[in-house]
Amino acid sequence: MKRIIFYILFLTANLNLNAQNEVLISFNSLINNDSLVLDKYFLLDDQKVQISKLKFYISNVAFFLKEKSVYSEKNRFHLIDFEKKKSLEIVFKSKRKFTFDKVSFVLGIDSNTNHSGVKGGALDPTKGMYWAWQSGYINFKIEGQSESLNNNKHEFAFHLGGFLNGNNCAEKVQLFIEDNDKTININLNLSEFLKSINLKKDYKIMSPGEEAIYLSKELSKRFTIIENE
Amino acid sequence: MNNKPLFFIVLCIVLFSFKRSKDKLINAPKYFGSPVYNFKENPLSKEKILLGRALFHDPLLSDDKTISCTSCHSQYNAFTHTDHNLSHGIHDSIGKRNSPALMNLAWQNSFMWDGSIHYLDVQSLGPISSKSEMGSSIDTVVQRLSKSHIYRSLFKKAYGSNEVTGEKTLKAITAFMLTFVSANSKYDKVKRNETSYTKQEENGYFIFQKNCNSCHAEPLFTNHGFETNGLPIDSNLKDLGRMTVTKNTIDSLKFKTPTLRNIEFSYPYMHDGRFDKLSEVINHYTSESKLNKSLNIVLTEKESVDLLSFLLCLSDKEFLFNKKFDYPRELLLN
Repeated sequence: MKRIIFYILFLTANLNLNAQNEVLISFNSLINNDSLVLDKYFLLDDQKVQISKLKFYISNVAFFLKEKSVYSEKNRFHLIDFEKKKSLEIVFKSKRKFTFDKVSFVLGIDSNTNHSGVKGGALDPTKGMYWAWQSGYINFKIEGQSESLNNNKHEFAFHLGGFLNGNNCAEKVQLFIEDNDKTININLNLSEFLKSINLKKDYKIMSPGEEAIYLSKELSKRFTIIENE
Repeated sequence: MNNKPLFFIVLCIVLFSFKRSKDKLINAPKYFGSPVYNFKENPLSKEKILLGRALFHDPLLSDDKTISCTSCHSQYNAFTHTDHNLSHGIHDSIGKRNSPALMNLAWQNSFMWDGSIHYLDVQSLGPISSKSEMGSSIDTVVQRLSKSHIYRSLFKKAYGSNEVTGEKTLKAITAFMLTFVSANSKYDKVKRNETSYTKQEENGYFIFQKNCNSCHAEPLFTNHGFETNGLPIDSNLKDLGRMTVTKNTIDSLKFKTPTLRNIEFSYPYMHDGRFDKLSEVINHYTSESKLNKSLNIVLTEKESVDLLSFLLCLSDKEFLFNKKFDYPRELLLN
């Protein structure tokens, strides 16, 4: 009997400890176990590669427990920009405590938002994430150089987006979380992503279409949780 | 004491005056139908329209401060340019298309000849950023405006805060463009039983309805669609039109149906401005050899002249020479 009471006490204590009313999501991109530093070379398959720009939107962030939504955001958009350290961390506050085992978000801007014209804040077109020559937010922007490229300056650039004419590429990302901690560390595995592209062939994508859809799908698979030790 | 009737009367007066003041900003006839533009996302006000008007006339928007929106969209030409078949930009650069006439934009659901822009608010980003037009960026524009004493005060009046943002800048330009309502042509006046057509115009109207109305649909004189105009591709411009956007071969050489309102003033014609005169356009659509059969219109010489006389009924001089679109001299910009 004593044992059961102990277990119950232990479990409830544990639950209370794990429930949060403030969760921080922190983005990082690890390359060969080191955090990405912009404009600094690293080796990828023996080729020198550097990233000069890495910016993307995440929206519709939601937390789940056993597939039931426990916290969700609407019409809040976050621009993650590796040039601005502050933007890599987002705080989610709730009035009541919640526990979760999954977090999900949309990588980019959904079609409804795109359909309702120009927006401010993180979505202001001065942020450099809106196409000018055609409509739509750029969901994901990565630019850099790779030794393996034969073009002028060895540059590559992917501006992924699109929501019209069947070219919607705002992908949903779902991540399961073992430790219901205050901080969720999310890693974007860029080396895996870059390996999935034939850089020699596709080094520049700057408009909606099949390639943008393919790369957005690839990217959405490259987010993982870095478990706390 | 019962104040209810008094309250009701006051409420009616307030509501009525509110409705009237709103009506004055944009005055369109009922037969235009509901606008597609979402005014809830960008409510109009006199102050916002004035700010937009200042921006529309200001060459500050272009990289070297030489080109304003009015450079290619001058009011007296139905907000297009009549000397240039293709748009001209900074450093004498030349664009690849004829600048379109601007009017009744609240009823338009896509912009640019290929429909690459889906919403009026973001339309101005195109010319601001295009290297062959203004060659600048919304970023630079916002920085420049933030430094201007006059603009900061205009933003304050329009938005309650003098902070300049890209969103506010674009929405103000949109607000001004939304006031470009042309609905006082002879066609409109006949429609409202205020006047009547001559016999020739009436015959022209009949010919129009029979042959042109399926694409240039009344009362806005466009079906907002993308159509084949039968013109051979210009070997220098290599402009595939709508296909550039949809990447679907079915859309090759399709261009947005332009409105025919104020057509008398919006020459040259077609997406690349290749025709200077309306009679050339009519010749194009009536010459069998150049077109596939579905486009070909058969008209006698007299019928062509009658059609032309109807098209001139689409000119709206109250719109073309309305002082409210002029350069806002009272602001003494720069």
